[in-house]
Amino acid sequence: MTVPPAFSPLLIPVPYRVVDKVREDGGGDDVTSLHVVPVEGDLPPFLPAQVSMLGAFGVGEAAISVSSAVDNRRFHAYTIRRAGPITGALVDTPIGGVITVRGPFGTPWPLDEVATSQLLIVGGGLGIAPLRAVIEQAIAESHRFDRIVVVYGARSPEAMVYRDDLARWAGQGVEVALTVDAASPGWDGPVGVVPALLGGPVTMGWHEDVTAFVCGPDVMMHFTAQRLRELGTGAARIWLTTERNMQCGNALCGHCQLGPFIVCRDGPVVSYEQIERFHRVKGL
Amino acid sequence: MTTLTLEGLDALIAALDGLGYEVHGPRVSGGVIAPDRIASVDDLPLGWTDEQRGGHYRLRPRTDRARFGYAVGPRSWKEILHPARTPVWTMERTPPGDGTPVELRVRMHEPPVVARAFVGVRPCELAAIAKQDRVLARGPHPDPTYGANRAANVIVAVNCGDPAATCFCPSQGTGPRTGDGYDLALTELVGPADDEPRYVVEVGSQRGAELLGALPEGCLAEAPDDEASARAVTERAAAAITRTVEAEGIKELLYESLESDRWEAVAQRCLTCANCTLACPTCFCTDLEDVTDLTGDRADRWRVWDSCFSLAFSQLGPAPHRASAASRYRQWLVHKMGSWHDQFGESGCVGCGRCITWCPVGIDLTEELAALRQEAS
Repeated sequence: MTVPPAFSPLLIPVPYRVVDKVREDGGGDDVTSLHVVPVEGDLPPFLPAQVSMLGAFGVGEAAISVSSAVDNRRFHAYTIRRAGPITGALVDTPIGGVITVRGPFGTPWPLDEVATSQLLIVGGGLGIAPLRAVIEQAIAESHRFDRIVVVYGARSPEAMVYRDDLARWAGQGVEVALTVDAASPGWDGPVGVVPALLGGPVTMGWHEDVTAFVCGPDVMMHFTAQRLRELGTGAARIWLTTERNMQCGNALCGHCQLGPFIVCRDGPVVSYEQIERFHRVKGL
Repeated sequence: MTTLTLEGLDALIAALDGLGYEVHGPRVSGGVIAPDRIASVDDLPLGWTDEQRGGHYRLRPRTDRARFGYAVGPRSWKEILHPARTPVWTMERTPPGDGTPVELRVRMHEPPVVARAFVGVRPCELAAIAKQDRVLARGPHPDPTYGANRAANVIVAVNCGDPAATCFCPSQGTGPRTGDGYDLALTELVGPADDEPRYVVEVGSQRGAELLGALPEGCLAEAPDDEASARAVTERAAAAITRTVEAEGIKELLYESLESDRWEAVAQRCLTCANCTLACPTCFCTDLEDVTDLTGDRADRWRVWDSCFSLAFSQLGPAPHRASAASRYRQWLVHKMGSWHDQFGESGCVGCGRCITWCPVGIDLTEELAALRQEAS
């Protein structure tokens, strides 16, 4: 009788221990980073923007991107907003507790292929999490770029995450521009949506020499990409992330389809050139 | 070319059984003709045919001795190869709270690999199996159980002589005559009056040749014009199929029609009941369900059929992404006929017509596609 071939590693949940938890926001949201290591064996390598299916025992799994730096060999960080039962159970896992991980997998930000001298990284809300690793990587390779610009918008100053990182990046030569939808006392930065900063406070040589990595809610990415196009950035040099109900992570279950894309196989990172005609369609 | 007598077909079924295959073939059960375990030709649907149109399926008696004198029923071979409910893993947790660190143990389930012989697979169904092979066994992370079961699978196809009014396999290039992917393909030659049928055999694999070669002498009954007669059966079937889909440029048509008003017009009729996806032999989507036992320290993951017509299918954060019936019908049709090309390099439709027959309100994808085409022109 035929013997079944081995299971794809991505089908098998691997126990990881939570070694630390970091509350990331300033009280405006409920965002926690879990620092995890495999209970047995070594941390697998990953590329920025890759995601894993994180499992809370008996509750279920959610797709979360790895948000630590690629050269961090001590732990993987997953930054999670409490949104429902699964994410709630994940962030409530105590230090010393165990979750399961399938991954990381998926397409990364194509940093190696960037040929422009200016790199624009635009995050909206928790969309900054899948960008953190690529920002760290770009800083490590900053000799390749004349400018690295990070634009980050949040609902409120309190909802901003990675505050220490933002300050550190600014000290490492990254131009950091922040905006909020609604200000609170003590905020002296701009108030408004991310695309409003582009071409205004954030000015670059748009036409010839910008590559943009964009991650955030669909509507934010849509208007950001449109604004970048208006400013003359080619669609093939705008990269964004896709998100759908991801379940198997193996291109077998059909849930994470977005038009022609199976997000777990073809995403999360795709070029705007590939997705432009589908991105604006509601409910696709 | 070889021709089998009815006794020869019976001997083939017995031979498959003798070689250890679990033999499945069409049987009348629950008012339909559907794949089931068979032991001999006596289990085949003698005296029955099916009558189909939008939202309508009835078995009707027939007076000849045909054993394969019907089109397709609601249930397909996917039930066997890609079961509706499969265990994936069991996870056990050391009970928390006794001071020791919590540990999880994961045990993957390996559902048994069974050598099965399918007798009576229609050309459209063979094409459907090939499409599921591509998705489930030839992607980046194949389903190991599916692949192993398929590798052990013998297929005796039966070309189509009695298509239903809902069939459109010629448009999809899948029938009424098989292309490839079978071990043996039969064409049933129905005799006059009380004569038993004979089966013209084409060999599609080494395994098929061996099976045929091992049959006893008296099973073969060649007649000089059998090959022409067999060809005439499928030519008549092809001529009887009038329903069509214009395949040329269909993906672009659908992509250009994503915001058409037609989706809302379908949604006025669509009950989002998911019958079409259950009956479709290529629909492969599954959901992962975690179930805990009463102690709370054991969780089982099940893989169960899912449908893009369910609201939970597109759950994204707090709400379903495809909240409207229009967006869910659009997902189904655009995927089946359009984006499947981008995802898997071919159409996802085999033209079997099940989605038309088994739609309780008779929504007809060929009609919807024609309407979209007319709107676009």
